[in-house]
Amino acid sequence: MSVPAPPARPPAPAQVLTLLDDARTARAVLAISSALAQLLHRDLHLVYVEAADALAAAALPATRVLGTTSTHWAPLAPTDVEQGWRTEAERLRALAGQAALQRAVGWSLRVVRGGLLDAARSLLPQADLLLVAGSTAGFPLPARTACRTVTAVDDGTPAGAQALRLAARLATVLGARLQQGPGGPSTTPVDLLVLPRSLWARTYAPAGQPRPHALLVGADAGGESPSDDPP
Amino acid sequence: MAARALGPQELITRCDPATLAGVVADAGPAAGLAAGPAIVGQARATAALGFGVAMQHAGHHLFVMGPPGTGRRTLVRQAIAAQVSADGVQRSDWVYVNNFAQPHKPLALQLPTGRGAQLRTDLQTLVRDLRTMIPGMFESEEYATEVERINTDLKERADQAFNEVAREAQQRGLALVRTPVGITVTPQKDGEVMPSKDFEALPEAERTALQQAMEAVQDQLLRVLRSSMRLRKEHADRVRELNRSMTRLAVDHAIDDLQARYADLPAVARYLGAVSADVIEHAEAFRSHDEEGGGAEQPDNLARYEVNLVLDASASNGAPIVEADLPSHQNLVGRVDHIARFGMLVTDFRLIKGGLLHRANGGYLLIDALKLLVQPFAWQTLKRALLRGEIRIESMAELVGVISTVQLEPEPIPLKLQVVLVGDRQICALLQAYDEEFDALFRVVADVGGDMPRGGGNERALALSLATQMQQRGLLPPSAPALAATLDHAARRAEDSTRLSAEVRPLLDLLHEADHLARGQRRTQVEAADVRAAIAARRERAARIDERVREATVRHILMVSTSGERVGQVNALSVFETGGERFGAPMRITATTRLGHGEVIDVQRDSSLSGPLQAKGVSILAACLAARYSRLQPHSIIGSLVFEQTYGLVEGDSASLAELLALLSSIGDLPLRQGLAVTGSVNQFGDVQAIGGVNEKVEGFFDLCAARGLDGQQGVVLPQANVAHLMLRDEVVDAVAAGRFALHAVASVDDALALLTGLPAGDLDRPTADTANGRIAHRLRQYAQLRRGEPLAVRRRVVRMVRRTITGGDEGEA
Repeated sequence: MSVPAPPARPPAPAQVLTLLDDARTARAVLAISSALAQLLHRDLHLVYVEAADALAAAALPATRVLGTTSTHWAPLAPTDVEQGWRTEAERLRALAGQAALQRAVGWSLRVVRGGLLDAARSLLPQADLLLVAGSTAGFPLPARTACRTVTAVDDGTPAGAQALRLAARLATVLGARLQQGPGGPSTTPVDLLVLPRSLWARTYAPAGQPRPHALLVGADAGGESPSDDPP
Repeated sequence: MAARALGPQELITRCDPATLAGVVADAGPAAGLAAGPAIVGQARATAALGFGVAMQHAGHHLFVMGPPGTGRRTLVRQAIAAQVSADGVQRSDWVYVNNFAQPHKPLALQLPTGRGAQLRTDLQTLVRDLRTMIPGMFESEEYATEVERINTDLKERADQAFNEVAREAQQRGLALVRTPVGITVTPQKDGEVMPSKDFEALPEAERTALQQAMEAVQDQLLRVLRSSMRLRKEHADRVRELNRSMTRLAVDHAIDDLQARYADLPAVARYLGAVSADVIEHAEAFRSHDEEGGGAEQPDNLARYEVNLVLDASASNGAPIVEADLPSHQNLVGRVDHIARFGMLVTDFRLIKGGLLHRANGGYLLIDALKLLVQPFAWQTLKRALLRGEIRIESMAELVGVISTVQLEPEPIPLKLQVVLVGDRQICALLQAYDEEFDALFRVVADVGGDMPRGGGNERALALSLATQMQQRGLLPPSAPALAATLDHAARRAEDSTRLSAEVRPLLDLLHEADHLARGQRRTQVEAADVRAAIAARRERAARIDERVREATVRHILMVSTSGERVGQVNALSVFETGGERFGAPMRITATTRLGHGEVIDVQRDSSLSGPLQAKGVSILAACLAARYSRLQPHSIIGSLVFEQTYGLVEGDSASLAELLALLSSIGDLPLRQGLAVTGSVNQFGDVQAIGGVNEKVEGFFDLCAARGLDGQQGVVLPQANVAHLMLRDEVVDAVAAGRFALHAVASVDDALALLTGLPAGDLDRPTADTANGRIAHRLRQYAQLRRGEPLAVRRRVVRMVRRTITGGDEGEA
């Protein structure tokens, strides 16, 4: 599946757009995004990105895979990857249903193929709030489900101030600790970064998929900024 | 000595109401009802009880035997109350708590009175506090920071290892790619996964080199993965240790206070130490109930810290006197309940329930012996507990071995109490005879008598006790004549004019009924007439069968003659009981004799309708017959004895005098007076011995004669030894006084023989033809001669005589 081309300068819909490419991060990402949707009285729109490089790797001869619950290398075929994606999507759908029911928000799920960052860049114009799931460790270590630390990055722009306000409200809802981060990529343990989208596009995205989840706020030239208050 | 006709004054011994003057005035609360009513005439039993209750040693338990209604339990209570007031008592609380090391073996803790409940409250408070304190510790910034530090350390070390592999891969032209099914190592080109067609286009050597590099990286990644497992375990250990450390901070403070409070009780202090260790080990249970922290309800996984108070001694003042209503196995030792949960029966120490032994521990346990013995395993259970000196809670299923699953095994509790069994003599005798352990455990036997002497102040004491209990029960006060009539009834119940029945309960029942009648008459006190009416009414209620039997007898359906004479036939007297009342019933005994070899055939025994005592009586009378008349010659008759028209078991030897008279009449061809009924047993010398139920027997024959019409010739022949037992109804006494009925006391069979035949008995050593014994002896000599082969003429005469005897003489019916 390819990323659809964005329409020309549509108004940003009242939704929380969430992108993720790994079901292991789903619980944590859903906890944040559903809380955000409830906080702002918005719908939750999930985009599951099927990483194209996994399929390419599986297409190579003699490719082997080390399963997350295995201790030996096994042959990997493209069909295994396709099957894995379907399974992850099902799991994501089930978790999203539970989270949305708990928070009483509307939700939807879309599946695209490509890379997470590419998908994020292409979807930026469609949403004023975009949550990009962070990468998981390469090892099958236990994934944290609770968000304990929210870091707001204020670059001095109105979007930065907005990121700070939203981060504060979200930290309260999640019962997490709020801290104000530096203007660049941080090495301190952070569960969620809240930052202006322009800053992300300028500084974080070029460095690759960051470890913490990133909530991008602020409108681009054609969009509207998310309101701090419910509609 | 001849039969002696009894005067009316010998037929009943009445209590003089004048001797009871002031009894009613003395009765009341001042008569000592606090410890129960006074029990009269039981000095021996009272002394035995006092001794037994004071003997606080293992094996000196008591068995109080005696008839019901004699105040056995009251005596026991009074003895215990006296002992407790003299020596006091020491009791303890007992609790069961969780055994954290072996949960299936709950621990028993002993605490001073009142501190069991305190410990329960203290533990509840402790848990409630910890449910607030522990989550608070884990929510603190210090804890979060410490956990974060551990996590970061782990992550960094894991990432470092992974990054090294990634770098190694990159240097070899490879990349680590995450897929939905795991991680893979793949060749890369221009920072992307190498397309398949590019890989295929590579020279063979290059492809091989790449594959070897991929395998090397895979091996490296696998090693790193394995080492990451160690990291995870290390992480878990560090977090656990951190949790322990945090929990200990909260727990130590709380437990230290408790341990100081219970420092005087080492077992409790040890338990609190175990609680502390367990809370630290299971801190997660407190953290997960954070949001319920303030609630009163204890979550299930915190119930392990509850205290099950199985015996709260503070609930009773002084020594407990526990009376077992249902002394079953489980009620004695307690039980372990189960609750159904998801289709399974589960249990724990909180479901341990104490039993009667727990409640009575340190005091006294009263048990009805019969109720105990009819409960399966209960007797064995009680003995085992007493012999071991401990209460061990075991289910019946365990006892019979039908359950092999793991059951709770609560720690046994030391047992120190006195058991008082109350039962009748027969039960006591059976236990003594058949249970070897009985004597080792119940070394004190208190014998509560069923009756007491009438003199020595017992009449007045019993009257006072009755009047007091009447007042206690809100009955009308009795008059002195009413009490006297009640005492007369007590003497009648004792079957002895010189004694009183000690069974007070039936007397109180009678007075209850008399009270009812008196109230019906709008009287202000119970009079003698009410008592007599109550006695008569009781008898009337139970007299249906008696009336039917008498009616059948009057109509000669049951054949009993009350006038005339007949050979080989005599009236005997029996007693039957129905509706709690006893009635006398006359019956006919017949005897026939013929030439033979000295045998008495008891038709009842041959038809299996006689009991052993009746059989014994016949054997004795047969021996008596041979000894009296055939000592120097062969005993050459066969006699047959029958209780006519009896269709059930005949038991007792009280008819043996009548049977002997019937036989003698048949042998000697001597007609017997049918207006007389005979009761009494005989020994081998022909002495007449006392029998039971004499009053009912006399009255039974009197009622029959009265129904047919008293002719002045009728009466009862009874043993001289029974005269002192006579407590007859007024009607009988009046009839005797008027000469319309007679009672004859006899001491030997000769007395009775003379009375019933109208002939002198005569001297057995010098028999003459004008005496009864002479005629009997003469006939027996003839039988002996015949048997030895005397001349035919003589034999013919004898045959004629025998035939006449067999076919009977005059009918003699009125």
